[in-house]
Amino acid sequence: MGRASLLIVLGFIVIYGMVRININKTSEGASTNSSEYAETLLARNIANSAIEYGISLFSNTGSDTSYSNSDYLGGSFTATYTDLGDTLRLTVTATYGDGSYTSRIDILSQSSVMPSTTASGSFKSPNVSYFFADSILISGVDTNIDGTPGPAPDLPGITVATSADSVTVAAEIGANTGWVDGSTAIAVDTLTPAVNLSDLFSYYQSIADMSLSGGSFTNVNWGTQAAPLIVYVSGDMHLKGNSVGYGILAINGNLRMSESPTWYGLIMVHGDSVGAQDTRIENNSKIFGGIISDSPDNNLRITDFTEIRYSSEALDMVQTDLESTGGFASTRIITEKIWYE
Amino acid sequence: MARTKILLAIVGIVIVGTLTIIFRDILSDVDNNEAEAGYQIMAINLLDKFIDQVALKSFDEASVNGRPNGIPDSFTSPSDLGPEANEIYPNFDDIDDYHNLSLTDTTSSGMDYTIKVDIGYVTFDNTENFLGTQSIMKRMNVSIMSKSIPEEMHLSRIFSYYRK
Repeated sequence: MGRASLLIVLGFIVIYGMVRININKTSEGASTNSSEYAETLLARNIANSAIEYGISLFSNTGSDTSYSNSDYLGGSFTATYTDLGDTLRLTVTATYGDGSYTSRIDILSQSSVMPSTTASGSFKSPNVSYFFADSILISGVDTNIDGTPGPAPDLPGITVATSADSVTVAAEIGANTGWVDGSTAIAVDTLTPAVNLSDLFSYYQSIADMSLSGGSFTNVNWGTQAAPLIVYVSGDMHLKGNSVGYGILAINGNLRMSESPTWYGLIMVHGDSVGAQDTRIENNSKIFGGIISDSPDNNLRITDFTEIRYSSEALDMVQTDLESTGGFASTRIITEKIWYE
Repeated sequence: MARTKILLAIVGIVIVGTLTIIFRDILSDVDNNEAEAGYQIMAINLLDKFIDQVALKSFDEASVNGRPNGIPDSFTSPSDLGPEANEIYPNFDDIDDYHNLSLTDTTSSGMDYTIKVDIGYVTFDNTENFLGTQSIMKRMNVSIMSKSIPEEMHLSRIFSYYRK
């Protein structure tokens, strides 16, 4: 009886001991899980903070160079960019204690220096007065600088601000349907530009390679295909003769082109509605790239064998060169983010 | 002899009884530990969700309607961080509106908690100390207190300005 009791007691002690060990393990497991979970969330917030920094870095400087920090919110991270063509992929792996977390984001962006091109001729103001005559060509068909077909999808020939303007333009073209072509001859563009045109004018003024006060310019050569310029003109400008320019021509005043000048790149006109036409292009003038006018009371005259052709090559030439100059010229506007976790 | 056996049996019963009481206490402690761990996970999840909610807001009042004129000078000065006049939680439009927010609530499972927020400007090279001037990075520290967790828990996120 006594021995049996002793054995039973000893048996209980052993069983209790084993059960306790298991319970302790379970209890420690719960605490460990809680701790690991917290460290993973801490690592997640480091990774997502670093992602935001990377977007900011890319947006503000155009930099897509890998970066890291060994003391960031109490943890550390490494970040790498991968160029996927139109998209830039940013991957960040962060650690905090024993926790680790990887976040990834695909970034779509556009230059903050060049406005998006919606047509070969983009006229932003409503109630524009148009006058077309004598075998002109306003073409949204992509054309290389040497006149051969370009690789980009065609754009509309002309975009205007309102449906009423599109009716006005169509009436002005009348039966001369060959004067304006592209993915469509005329389109209405009501989208707010991602880049404010007034901001761009101010920016161009601040960084222009050439700042002019207006006047007539005959047989000038500004820039080259390898080194395009930003030319800022404050006042009315008359570009004439066999003048050739490469880059961005920003005119804070009225523009007149005549007598065979050619511009490769982008022309932006902010006319003052004083005097003659805000934009008057005539006499075999040529533009390869695009023209944007946001004159408050646009008065447009295009005549006499003028050619305005959309050219992705000419616009890319300007963009590529400006990006290589660094500073604000390299900044990007983030248009879309696709976040993966 | 019989008396010895009876004595041994009594000792055995006492030992088994004592062990049973100890065992019950252990089970109770384990229950508490597991519940505590569960509440801790719930608490840090609440912080994480709160941060994700704030991340949807604009970087600064100056960037709510587009690109500010001067970066970072036009951002809210460090001494003025917090909601603008007439802005009341949850109707905030930028990140630093949450500065000094104290939010008390109860989860659906009955856990009472209070979240507190602290926001300031930092730099990439020094994320620990708040700056006396504006920068393009704001650090948000959020903490949660509750009777259901043994100690205050913290989570931080840094928001950076970029054009969009």
